Amino acid sequence: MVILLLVAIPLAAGLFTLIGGAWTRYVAVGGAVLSLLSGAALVLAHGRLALDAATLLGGFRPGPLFGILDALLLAYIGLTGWRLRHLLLTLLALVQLAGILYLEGVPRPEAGRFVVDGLSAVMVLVVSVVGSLVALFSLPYMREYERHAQGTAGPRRFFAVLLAFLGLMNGLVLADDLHWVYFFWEATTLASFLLISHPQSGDAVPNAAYALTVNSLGGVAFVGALVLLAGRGEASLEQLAATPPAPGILVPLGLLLFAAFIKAAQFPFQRWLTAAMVAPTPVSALLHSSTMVKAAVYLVLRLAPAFRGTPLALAAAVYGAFSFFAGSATAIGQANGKKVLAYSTIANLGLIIACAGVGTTGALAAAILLVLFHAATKALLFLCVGTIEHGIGTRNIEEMEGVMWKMPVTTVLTVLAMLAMVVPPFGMLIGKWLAIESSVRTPLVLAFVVFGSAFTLVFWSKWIGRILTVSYHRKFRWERLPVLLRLPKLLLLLAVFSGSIGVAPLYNRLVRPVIVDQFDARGFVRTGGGGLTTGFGDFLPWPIFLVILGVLLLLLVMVGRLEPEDARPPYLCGENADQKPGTSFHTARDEVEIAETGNFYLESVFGEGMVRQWADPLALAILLLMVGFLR
Amino acid sequence: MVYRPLLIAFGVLVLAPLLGGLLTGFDRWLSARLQARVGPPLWQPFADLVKLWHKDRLTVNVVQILYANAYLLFVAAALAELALGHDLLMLLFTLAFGTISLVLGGFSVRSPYSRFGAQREIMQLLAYEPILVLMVVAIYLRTGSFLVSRVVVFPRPLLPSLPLIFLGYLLVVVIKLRKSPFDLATSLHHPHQELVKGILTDYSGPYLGIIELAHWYELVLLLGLAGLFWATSVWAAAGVALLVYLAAITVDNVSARVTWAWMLRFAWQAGLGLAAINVVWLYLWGAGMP
Repeated sequence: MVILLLVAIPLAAGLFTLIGGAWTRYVAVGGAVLSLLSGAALVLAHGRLALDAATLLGGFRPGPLFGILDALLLAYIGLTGWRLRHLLLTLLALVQLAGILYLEGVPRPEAGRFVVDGLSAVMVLVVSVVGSLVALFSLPYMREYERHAQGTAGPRRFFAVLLAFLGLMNGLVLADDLHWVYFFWEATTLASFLLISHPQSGDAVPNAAYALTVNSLGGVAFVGALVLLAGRGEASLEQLAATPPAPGILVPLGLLLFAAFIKAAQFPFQRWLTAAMVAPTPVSALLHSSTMVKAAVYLVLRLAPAFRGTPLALAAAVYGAFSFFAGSATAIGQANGKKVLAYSTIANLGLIIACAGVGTTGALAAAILLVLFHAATKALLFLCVGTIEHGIGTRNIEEMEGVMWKMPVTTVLTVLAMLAMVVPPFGMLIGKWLAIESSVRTPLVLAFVVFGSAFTLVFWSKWIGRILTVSYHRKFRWERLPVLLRLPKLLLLLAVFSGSIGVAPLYNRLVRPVIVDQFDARGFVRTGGGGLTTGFGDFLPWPIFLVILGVLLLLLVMVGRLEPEDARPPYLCGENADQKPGTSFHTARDEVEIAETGNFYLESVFGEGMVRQWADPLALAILLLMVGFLR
Repeated sequence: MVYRPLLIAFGVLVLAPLLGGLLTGFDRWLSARLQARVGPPLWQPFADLVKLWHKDRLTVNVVQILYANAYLLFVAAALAELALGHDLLMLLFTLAFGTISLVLGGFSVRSPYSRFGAQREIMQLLAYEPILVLMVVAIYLRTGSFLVSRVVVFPRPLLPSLPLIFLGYLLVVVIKLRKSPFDLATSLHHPHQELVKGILTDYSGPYLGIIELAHWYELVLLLGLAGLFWATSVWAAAGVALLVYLAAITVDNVSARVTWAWMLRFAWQAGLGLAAINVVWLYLWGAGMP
């Protein structure tokens, strides 16, 4: 039932959208959303579940089916490479195909089942809830998008892939058979390609092909791990994670981690993700921030018990923390809003990987909290930036000045989401707090996280400042948006807020089961007083919420006492000019000049090219060092 | 008793502005004497605040009021967290929320001066935030806790094992109190600021008063954190705090303003360097320290 609701029905709904017009899309999205949400509710209501596929299918063993699907998938990718004259892509697909064919030829064990446990429940929740909301948002958004854009791949393909992706993604996090995980892994990569190339113009197709090529490199590593593991008789992800480190096991583990690092767009592979930002915004919100790239950290977290305590864990921790540091640094230098979001995503995925590497119960809890809150907050931010882009026709931060007047509701939502990324009492900060307190015994990780956090403060506050600039005396224009453009954002914001206030029940319900699964112990993080405590630290969100409430009350009181004539134009650089007070002034030469303002971007330090000069080689060096640990 | 924390928080939040105002008055009196001026009386800051409060309520935009209040309340909340013995890291985050509110207040105005001040305030945040986090980490490595309530009952003073961190913290205090040579974003009572009043240019009347009040809270908070370095007795803690304040005032009077890039470099090279060395000490020899 769970598999039917979470995997099969979204896939079927995807196929269904192919046959009809706009109404079919509404029906298919509606059906998929209902199915996903009820499936997620079912998963949360149940505890651990192991579902044998053969029993579900009345005795039919689906193992060979996945082999055939793999071959079809890889053949399609290879042909795509051929069609786009991307021979490297074809080559990588062929290598994977060879590996898969080899695996079909040798006797190998099969796990043949799906497993629902604490970690997959967290992922199913993220995929189903965020996925549903983004799919609903896409309905009106894409109609508007298609009206403006020319020569796209068409809404049919878009919605078919989007809905199918949700099913595939749930399959990925529920499958226990490594071979199946690989199929879903590659299928989500292909879905990403199809969605990035949706605009079909400009950079879209080359960027999509680039993303596919880079991710195929990860696919090759994945197949390599499969071949090695088949030789050792390992087929179940759960068993692999539970096996204590044995000689030789670190090589396939390392290959799987490598595949995950690429999919999580960690340095030096980050460029595929920033290039993927040409896709329509719902795609960025869904695949490239909240779900598909989270599959990568899911795999790392899933395998964490297998490499815990080995040098590989330390290397992964340092590597992830470095990506957090370098990603946050690059975000300072970006004026393109979606790129800032992309670099922030890379950084946060790095932080999650670092937590998985540190591997204490507290670090694992931090990682799960970050997965949950980052998915909701970042999806919300992408949806907001997409709305702003449609509203004012740009994603350049410098041009977002005054957006407060044009779209006040969206702006307030955006600002709240940005604040939720950087300040207490919101979930991201709870995760970061726990991450710092848990990595305090791992100095190098700690150092990167400390600097990365400071960078994070810088680029978010710059951006918030830019969009909140309000010039003197102007009236709000109440924006009108279709309900499906507004409701998903409000629900996401609600999720972030209620999750932050209710972090204690959230922790008990979703995070603790993962820790119990992996450690057979409750860990040192406890809930108490409405927040989290560790014995050496505490985080109570509700008093801070009270302070925020206090600020708002004071504002109401003070604004109530304000008279319209109390407003004054700001001081520019001389006396304000009469025609346009607040924007132009009399200079010392008595000419009227317009005062223009802009942000620091410090591109000579934090520009993309400048950071890459040192970050790419250093990240590569850490990866190569990691190879040395595989013995 | 359930209401004990509330009473403590209330008491501290009432007394802190009195102390902060007096200390500010002392600063202005001492600085005047160092510059061979007579200077204002000790209670001048209170008179200033009352005066500001009775001025016309002029604003450049409504949201300015929001940011001024947020700055005040978050700094006060951070102080309450210190008084109630909560998590030091959480305290830093709360304080950062306050600072960001101030920055956004500067950004919200379409004025070059406010915005320059705001950009520089961000750079200051970037300069000192890592030092503060390292300080908290060092305190954890020494005492085994992030909780102020545990740190203050640690049987030995922290200063002998965290001397370099302490120097780094001095730097943070000078930056955070907007003292010369780091009075970049705004200056409080010096007439010399090339950015007019920087980030505060477009605040006036009661709203400027709110920010002044927040500064007092911030001063008490920073000196309270300094007191943690010798928390074995109240008098010693007060003594350390006073020394830190005197040092900041002295530096203020003997140095000229630098650029923000210089500040960032200096804070990261000298301040962070010292703090990092101290943290490495603690990792290597922390267990055997007396």
